[in-house]
Amino acid sequence: MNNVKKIDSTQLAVLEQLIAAIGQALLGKQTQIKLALTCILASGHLLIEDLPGMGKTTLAHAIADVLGLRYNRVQFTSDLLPTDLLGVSIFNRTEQNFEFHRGPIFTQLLLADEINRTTPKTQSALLEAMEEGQVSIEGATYELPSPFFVIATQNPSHNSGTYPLPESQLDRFMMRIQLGYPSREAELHMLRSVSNHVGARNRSNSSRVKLSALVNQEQLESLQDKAASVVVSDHLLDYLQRLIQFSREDNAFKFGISPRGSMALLCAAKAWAFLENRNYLLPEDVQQVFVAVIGHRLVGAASDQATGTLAEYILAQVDVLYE
Amino acid sequence: MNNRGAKLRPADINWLATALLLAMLPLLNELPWWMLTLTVVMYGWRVQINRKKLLNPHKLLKFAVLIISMGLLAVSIQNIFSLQSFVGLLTLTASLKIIELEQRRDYLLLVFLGCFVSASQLLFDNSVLVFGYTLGCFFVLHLCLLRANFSPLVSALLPARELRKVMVIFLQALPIAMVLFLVVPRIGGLWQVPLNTDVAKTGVSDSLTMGSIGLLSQDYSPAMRVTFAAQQKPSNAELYWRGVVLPYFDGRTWSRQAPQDSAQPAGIKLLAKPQQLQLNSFAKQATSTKYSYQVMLEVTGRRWLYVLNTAVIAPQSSDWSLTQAANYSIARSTPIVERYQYQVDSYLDYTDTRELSAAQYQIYTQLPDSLDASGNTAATNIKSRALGRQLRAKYPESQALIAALMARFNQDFSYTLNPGKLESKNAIDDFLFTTKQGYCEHFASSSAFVLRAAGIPARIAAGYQGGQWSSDSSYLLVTQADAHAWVEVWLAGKGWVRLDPTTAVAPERIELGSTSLIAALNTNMGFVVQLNQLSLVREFRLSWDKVNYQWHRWVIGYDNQLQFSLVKKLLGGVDAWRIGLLILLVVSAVLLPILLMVYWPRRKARPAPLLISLQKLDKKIAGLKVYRRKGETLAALLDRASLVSQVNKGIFSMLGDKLNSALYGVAASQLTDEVSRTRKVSLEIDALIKKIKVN
Repeated sequence: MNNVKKIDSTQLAVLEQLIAAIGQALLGKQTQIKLALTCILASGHLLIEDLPGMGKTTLAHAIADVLGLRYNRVQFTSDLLPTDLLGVSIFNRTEQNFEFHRGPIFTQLLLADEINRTTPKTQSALLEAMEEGQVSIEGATYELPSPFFVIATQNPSHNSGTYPLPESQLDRFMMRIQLGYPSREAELHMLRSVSNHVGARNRSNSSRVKLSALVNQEQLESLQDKAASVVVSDHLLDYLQRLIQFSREDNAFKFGISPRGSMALLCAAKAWAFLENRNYLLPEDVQQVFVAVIGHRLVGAASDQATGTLAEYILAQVDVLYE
Repeated sequence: MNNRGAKLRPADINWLATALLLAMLPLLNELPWWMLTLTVVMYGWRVQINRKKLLNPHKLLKFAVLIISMGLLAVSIQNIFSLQSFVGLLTLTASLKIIELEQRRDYLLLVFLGCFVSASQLLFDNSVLVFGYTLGCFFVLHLCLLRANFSPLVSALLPARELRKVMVIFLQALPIAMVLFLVVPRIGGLWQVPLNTDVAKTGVSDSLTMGSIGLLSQDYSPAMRVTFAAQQKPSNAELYWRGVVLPYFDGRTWSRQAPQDSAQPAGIKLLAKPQQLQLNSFAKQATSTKYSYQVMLEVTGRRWLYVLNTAVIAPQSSDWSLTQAANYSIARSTPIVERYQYQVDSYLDYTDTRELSAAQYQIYTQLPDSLDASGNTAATNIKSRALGRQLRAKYPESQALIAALMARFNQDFSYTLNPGKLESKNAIDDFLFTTKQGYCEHFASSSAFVLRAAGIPARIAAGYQGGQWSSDSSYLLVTQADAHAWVEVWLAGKGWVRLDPTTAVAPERIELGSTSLIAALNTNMGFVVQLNQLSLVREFRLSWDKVNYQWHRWVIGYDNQLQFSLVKKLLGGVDAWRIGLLILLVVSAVLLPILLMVYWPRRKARPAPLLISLQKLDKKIAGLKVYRRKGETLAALLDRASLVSQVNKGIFSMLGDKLNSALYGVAASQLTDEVSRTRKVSLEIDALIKKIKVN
C-alpha cells in the first residue's frame, strides 16, 4: 500500500520517550498512560477516576511535566467558587476602574483535582472553557491560552462528599480512565524505592518525581496534527457508526451516544493508531479506546449498572467486519 | 387494522358526518328537508357527547326519536310503498346511527350505509352529473374508510397522502369495475326498482289547444336524440317526428279519443288495422328513401313513440310491447317512465291508398256543435264554416282548394310566438278573421277546421319538427322547443297526405328549425331564449348534450342486447370461457403488480467485492469449525483460526495484512479508481482464501 507509511522515526522515538517517562512516575500502568497520551494527542480533556491514593494526581502531574506545558493545579473543594477558578474584577483605587484578575484557569493545562468535590455551580464554570477555549465574565470574553487541556481527577461518585458530574459535563471529557490497583511487581518496586528515601521529611515528595519536559509546544502540535491525519476507511467508519447506532437502539441504554461522542471516538481512535505507529485506523484501535471514550457517556437502563461493562457489551454485540 | 375497538378521533367523526351530509344533499329533492336537520342535530349531539358536555341518550329516548322520525317520514311521504319512502328509511337509519358512533364497528357500518345512501341518488336521476357527484361521495367515504384502517399515528401525517391513497385505490378498482360492467349479465327483472310511475308528463300532450305548443317554444330540454344508420342525414324538411294523431275536435281542443259527451255515435273503429302486409312488402322492395335510426326518447309519461312517417318497427327490436295503430303511429303498451330506446325504419314515400269508410269519413269531417247558454245546440265558428263552403264552391278540386287556403295564409297572416289569447267559443273565427297571427297549432287547427268545413277529411298530427345536429353530425338532438303540429288531409287516390300550413306562413321554421326562426322573429323573448341565441351557449349546450347522450346510450342504456354485441365484437364470441378469461386477465392485471410489490424480496444493494471476499472467508474457515464472533476483529479471528489450523498460519497472516490494508488502509471518500482497485485486491484475497486448506 503506497499510502500506508511508517511514522518518521524521530517522532516515534519522542512518543516512546513520553510513555517511558510517565511510566517512571506511575509504575505498571502502561495502558492507562497510553490512553491519557492518546487523549492529549486527540486534543481532548481527560478525566481520571479512581479511589483516593491510586495515583491520579501523579499521572496528571507527570503528563503536565513531560509535555512542557504551563500548568495550574486547582484543588476543587466544596467551597470553591467560580470566581476562584475563572478570575475576578477588582476595583483599582489608583486608576479608578475595574481590573480583571485572571484566575488559575488561564493556563495551558489545568489540573482539576477532585473535581466532583466541588459544587455543580463551580463545575459548570468549566463548561465554556472546556468546549470553546474561552471564558466569559461580566460581559467580556477572554481567550484561554492554546493549547488548553483539562485533566480532572475524581473519586467514584458513590464516595461521600461528592457532587457527581452532570451528563453535560461528562460529555465534554473525551476520555475517562480508571487506574486500578497496581500489579504486585509494580507495587513492590514502588515500595522499595520509597523505603530507600529514608526520612519522613522527604516522604511526601517521594511519590512526586519532578519530570523534565520532553517536547515543546510546537512539537506537541505537530504530533497532534499527525494523529489527526491518520487514514480512516469507509469500512471502518461503517463499523464505528454501527457501534454508536447500537447504543441508540439497544434496550440496555437509557440514552444513545451523542454525535459529539462519536466524533470523540473517532479522534481518540486515530490518536491511538498513531501511538501504535500506524497511519491508518483499524477496528482494534477503536476497540482499545472504546471503553475510555464511551464508558462515561453511557447511562444504563438499569440505573446501577457499571458503565464500563455497558461499553464492553456494545463491543461484544456489534459485528466488526460486516453485518 | 390493529386498532380494533379503538376510540374514534373527533376528526374521524367530522369526516364521516361530512361524507354523509354530502351523500344526503341531492336526496333532499325527494325527501323531506327535516331529515337534513335531523342529521345535523345527531352529529352535533355526538360531538357534544365526545366533549363530555352531553350524556349518551338513554335507550328509551333513542327509541322515542326513532318512532317519531319514522312517523314523520310516513306523514311526509304520501305513498308509503314508493321508492321515496324506502330511500327515506335508509337515510333515516344513517342519520340516526350517528348518535351511536362510538366504536370502530359503528364507524364502518356508517361508512357502508353512506355508500348505499349515496348510490340511491341514482335511482332518481342517473345523469352524468349525478353519477359524478355520487363518485365524489364515494371518494370521501373511502377516505373515511382509509382513516379507520390506519393507526392514529399514520393518518396524523398528511391529508395529501390519504387522498393519494384513495385515488390509487379508485384507479385500481376502475379496470375491474369496467370489466364487471361489461360482462356481468344484466338481469333486468331481478334488479328493476319500482321507479316513479307518476312522473310529470312533459312535451307533446294527447290533446291540442291553440297555445299549448307555444308554451314549449322556449323549453330547450331534450325531447329525444336520434342516431341515423350509415351516416344518413335527412334534410330538415323531412324531419317530421310524428307522435300522436288527433282526429277529434270539440271546438277548442283536438284529442285522440272522442269526447265522452259528444254527439258522435260511440264505438266507431277508425281502421281495423294498419296495412301491415303491404307496408312490409313495400319495405322489401327498398326502392324508396329508407331511413334506419335509433331513437332515445326522454321520459314522456305517455305511450307513443315519435317516428318519421311511415315507420316499421325494426325487426331487431326486442320490445314486443310495441304496437302500430291504424294511422301508423307506434305506441308502447306501458307509458315511458324512464329513458327509452327504440330502433325503427322509416319509408317516407309509402302511402296507404285505401278508401275511407263512411264512418271514417264522418269522423274526419266532423265539426263540433256546442251547447249555448239556453242548452240548445248551436254552431260555433260560423264564419270559418262559411269560408270552407265558399272555397269548396270556388275550387271543386281539393288540391286547388288547399292551395288557395295556403295562399291566403301566406298573404296576410303572420307567425308569432305571442299570438295573444284566443279563448272564446269562436276561437278559429277570431284567428282567421281578426288576429291573423299565431303559432303552428293555430294554423294547423284552423286549416283542419276549414278543410273539414269544405268536406275534405283532415286531422291533426302532433310531434316534433326538425332538430339540431350534434357538432360531428353523429346524432340529432330534438328539444321541446321543436314541438310542432301539422295537418294530415285525405285525398282520393293519395291517401293521407301531410299538409303543414306553417310552411306557408313561415317556411324558415321548417327549413332552419325553431331556434333560427325565433332569432329571425327577434321579438321580445325571455332571457333563456336570448341566452340560447348566443352561439357560444348553444355550442356548449350541444356538446354537453352529447356527453349526456353518450352516457345514456352506452352506460345507462347498456342492456343485454348491447352487451351481447359488444362482448362479441371485443372477444370474438360470447362463450363462458372467453368471459371468464377476460375477467381473470383484468383482475390479475390489477392484482399481480400489487402482489409483486408486496411480496417481491427487497432488492439488496450488491455488497462491495471485499465484503464478498469476507463472506467467502467466513464460509471457508467454517470448514475448520472456526466461526466469526460478534465484536471480533479480523486479526483476532485469524489468530484463533491459526491456533486451530497451524498449516494455514502463513496464509492467515498474509490474509490478515492484505485484508486489513484493503479494508482500512484507504481513506474514506477516495472513490476514484476505487472500484477497479478493490476488485483487483479482492481477487488476490480470494485466491488466498482458496489456498486455505480444509481437510
